[in-house]
Amino acid sequence: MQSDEELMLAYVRGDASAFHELFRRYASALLRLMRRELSSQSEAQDLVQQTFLQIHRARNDFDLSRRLKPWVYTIALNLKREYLRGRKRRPTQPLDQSPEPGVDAVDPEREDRARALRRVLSSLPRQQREVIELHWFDELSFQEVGQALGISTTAAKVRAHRGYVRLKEALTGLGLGNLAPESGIEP
Amino acid sequence: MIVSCAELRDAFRRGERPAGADVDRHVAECAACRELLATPAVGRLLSVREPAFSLDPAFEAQVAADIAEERGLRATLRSLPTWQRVLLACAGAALLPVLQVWLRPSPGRGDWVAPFAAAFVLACAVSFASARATPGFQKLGTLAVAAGLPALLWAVTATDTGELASPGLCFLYGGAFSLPLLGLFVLLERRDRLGPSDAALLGGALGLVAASVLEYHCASAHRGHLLLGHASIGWAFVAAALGWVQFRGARAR
Repeated sequence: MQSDEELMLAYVRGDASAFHELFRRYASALLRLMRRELSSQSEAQDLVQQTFLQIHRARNDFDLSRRLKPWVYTIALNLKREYLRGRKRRPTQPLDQSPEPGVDAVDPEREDRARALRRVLSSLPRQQREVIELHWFDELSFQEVGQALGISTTAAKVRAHRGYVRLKEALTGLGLGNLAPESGIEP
Repeated sequence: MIVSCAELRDAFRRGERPAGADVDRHVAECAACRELLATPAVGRLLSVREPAFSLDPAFEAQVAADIAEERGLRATLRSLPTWQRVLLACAGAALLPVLQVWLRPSPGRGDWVAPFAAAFVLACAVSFASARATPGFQKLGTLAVAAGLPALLWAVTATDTGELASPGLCFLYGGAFSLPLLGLFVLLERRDRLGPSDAALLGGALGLVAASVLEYHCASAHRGHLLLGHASIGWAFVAAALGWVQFRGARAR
């Protein structure tokens, strides 16, 4: 299987099918990234669409010696931040609401867990939350998180550390500080 | 064997409680993972899977159609590497002072054109880099340079002697002369919706071009004239850019 970077190289050289493969690899993850702070599926989808358009327009800027994933996330995060700033309102909490069309059906227990997760994560400052979300949910390494956010790997780890400390406090505040596997919030 | 934060995270997600000499070695050097291991509840909480979002089957076709529409001069210019777009913006900007000198030779000597040009390159490079994660403080710093450099240089070097000769005329002249560059910026800009800091940076860049044109147009050394008639063009462009972003945001809402 071709790596993301090989696909990007093929795309920069004019292979349209490489773009379709990249779309298939990234679209769902990017939609999830957008939905974390946007309640509307159509708004999130619009931002994902813009992300791919920007990837296309910026394709000649991509440094082929680097990893593609942080670069894609940088573009997506820039768009999301600008969009949220433009709307001048606090991000909504999609997981506290009833799922809309486009969200795969989930069992109620899983929804509860996700809601608890969203509640404690939303108590974090944006800088810490972004690092933790990119590392845990989008599966970027701290090095990639640093590249995506324009900070050093050390700064990404420091933000994560501070985020974990605050999460611990938030969990304690919710009475979940001694969360055990059987408590319902587990992998 | 766990040697990275990602591997430790993945162990948590598999429901394992990472332990062993390799984990100890890793956490000895990694404060984030140390905190995570000290508080397994956090790891378990973060291991909750997010809901999966299914994609509308028509979505890929829609994105492909958008990309297929990217044709013509503007699409070609937008897809150039950033350094080439900055170079084109510089070439366009350089034409204006040259045109000013050619059209109407006047007593201005262009003393500060070189630092204005350097600030212009910086502003364009930062604003055009849409695929880079530029920290906010860097953008603000660049904006401060772009919008503040002319005022700073003139405030320090100008005098209060002589007559304050109609700054409004220079303001209008410099503003109007540099305005065509806005068209080039629109052609070179990749994003359909600019954020306030990037729009303000381009406004500041336009102001620097206006200041450069006026350096050849007007020989006044009066501090008040230079600040009100020359430096304030950049501030007006920055304010207009921010107003435009605000207006578009309000309309989109």
